[in-house]
Amino acid sequence: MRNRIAPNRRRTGAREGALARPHFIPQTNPSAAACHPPGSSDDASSMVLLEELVEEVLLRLPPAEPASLVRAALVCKPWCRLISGRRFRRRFCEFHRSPPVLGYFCNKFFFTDSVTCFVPASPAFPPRADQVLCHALDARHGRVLLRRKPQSPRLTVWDPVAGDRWELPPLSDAWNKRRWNAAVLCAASAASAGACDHLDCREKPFLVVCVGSGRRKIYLRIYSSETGSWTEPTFAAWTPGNENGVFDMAPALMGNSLYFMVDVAFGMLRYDLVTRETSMIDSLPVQPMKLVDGGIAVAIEDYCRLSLWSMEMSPNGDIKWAQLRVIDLNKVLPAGVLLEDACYVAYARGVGILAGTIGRLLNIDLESDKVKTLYKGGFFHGIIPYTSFYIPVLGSVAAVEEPRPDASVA
Amino acid sequence: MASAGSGDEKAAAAAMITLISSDNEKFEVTEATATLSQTIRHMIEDGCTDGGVPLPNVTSKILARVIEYCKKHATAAAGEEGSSSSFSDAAFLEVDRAFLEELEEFDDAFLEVDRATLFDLILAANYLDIKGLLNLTCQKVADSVKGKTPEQIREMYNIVNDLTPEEEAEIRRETQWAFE
Repeated sequence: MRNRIAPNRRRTGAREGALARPHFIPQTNPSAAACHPPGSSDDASSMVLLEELVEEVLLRLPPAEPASLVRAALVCKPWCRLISGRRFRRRFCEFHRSPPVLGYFCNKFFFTDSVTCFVPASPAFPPRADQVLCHALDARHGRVLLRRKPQSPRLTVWDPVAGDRWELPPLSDAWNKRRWNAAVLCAASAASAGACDHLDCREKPFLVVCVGSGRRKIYLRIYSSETGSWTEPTFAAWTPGNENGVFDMAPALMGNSLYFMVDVAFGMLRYDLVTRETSMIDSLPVQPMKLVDGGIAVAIEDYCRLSLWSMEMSPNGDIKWAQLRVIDLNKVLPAGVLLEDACYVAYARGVGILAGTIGRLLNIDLESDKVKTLYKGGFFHGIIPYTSFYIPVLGSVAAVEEPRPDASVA
Repeated sequence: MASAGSGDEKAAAAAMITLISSDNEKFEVTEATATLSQTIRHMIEDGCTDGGVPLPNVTSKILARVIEYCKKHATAAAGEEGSSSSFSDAAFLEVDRAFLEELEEFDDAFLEVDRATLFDLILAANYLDIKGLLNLTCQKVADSVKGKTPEQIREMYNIVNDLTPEEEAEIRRETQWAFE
């Protein structure tokens, strides 16, 4: 049904088209031309595209609307196999480059404790049950890190797209007395630059980096999914005269380093994943700031002035801050909506500012300053945006992959 | 359209290439226009364009449209290169924006074709390896698929459903959320 033109897979040496599409020179390949007889473009059969071009079309479905890919996969067997195949998976990720925000993990109060609910960004997305007695700490590279309550510090890593869960060995009871925070990330982040593009690394090993403040000291422990265990605590920083310690705010990854907000001298703790060295960074322009991967920070002052900052690192390791925007929330937010605390603010690329107010999750679009309500209900005390590609692998139909002629071409 | 490309060349010295459609119609275009196609670019580099470039996969009707696209986009590319040295940054940005807007309008109008023509344009863009045109046309089809049910997609594109009722039921069970 789809072989009106045989795909021409002959390659002409090192030269390839921009799309790595094999091209051919008509004079030397008359057989390919014969497959598309002249003057037949109005023929009804031209309504059917050959599979290679179906792939080109399906690649362009919007990644932020996962239901589109699922519905397309139900059109026929070839489409289902194509979408579920590894080659399409890879190409889809590479074509769109940055994973979309699929939703937000929102920490809400649940009686005296906490519950984490998933608020999907797209109306059609597989439902995810509320994680009762859980608190979302961080999300990165397709995984979310949950702290389970109320017993000794236990962490769970969850891939809500694939459905995989990892229960980590509990931290010692001493961590219960500490203020601490943790980050989850692909283990390749600690390898040399470019070891992983993090577009689709959910099947690779991961790390959890845990930072906690004890008496005048900050400690660090690292869990590796490869060893299945925590490292012994490492002394990370000296914090004279201040015991407030680590802020309960999602850490950020920038370059090779993780940044944790700490309540010390307007500072943050930097942990270099490659050299495994820690350092304190002070002179933040505003405290506390909500850090975002890649070097964006959001802060709220006086409950109404929201500022957006960019964080850039100079070659000698100094951090330079530049204010990008200031938003007067009194002007932007609908009347009667109050922001309780700076902690409930988040930022996601392509989405803008997220603000958890009493009973509402709001999104402020930074281009238009328009505010929309994403979710109603509950008292928020944390918002963790979740970004990932969602590409379905469907049923037994998809299990039989068709041979891929391209695979044999080096 | 058969004489496309012959009237508006600014530089008389610009090298001309003759493209020959499957129904033997000849189109004379500048090298700048023709080389938006990687396939033709490679043929020019290999020196095998003397006596014209036969394109047995592309009818004259479709080739005329493809050339129309390439001429517009080649002009835009040349305009960008030319203006960068003679304008201040702000003026350049302004010109740039105007160019992009005009190009977008052109692309929108260009895509106002029936489905058979759209598919033939995709085939031609793929065969000639014109990245921009392939992206434009495939995105148009993707936009038409987005948000549709499997039944609507099959009907739109004459696709036979070869999934057994059991297979379809199994997938629908797994992905109920996508149909709510």
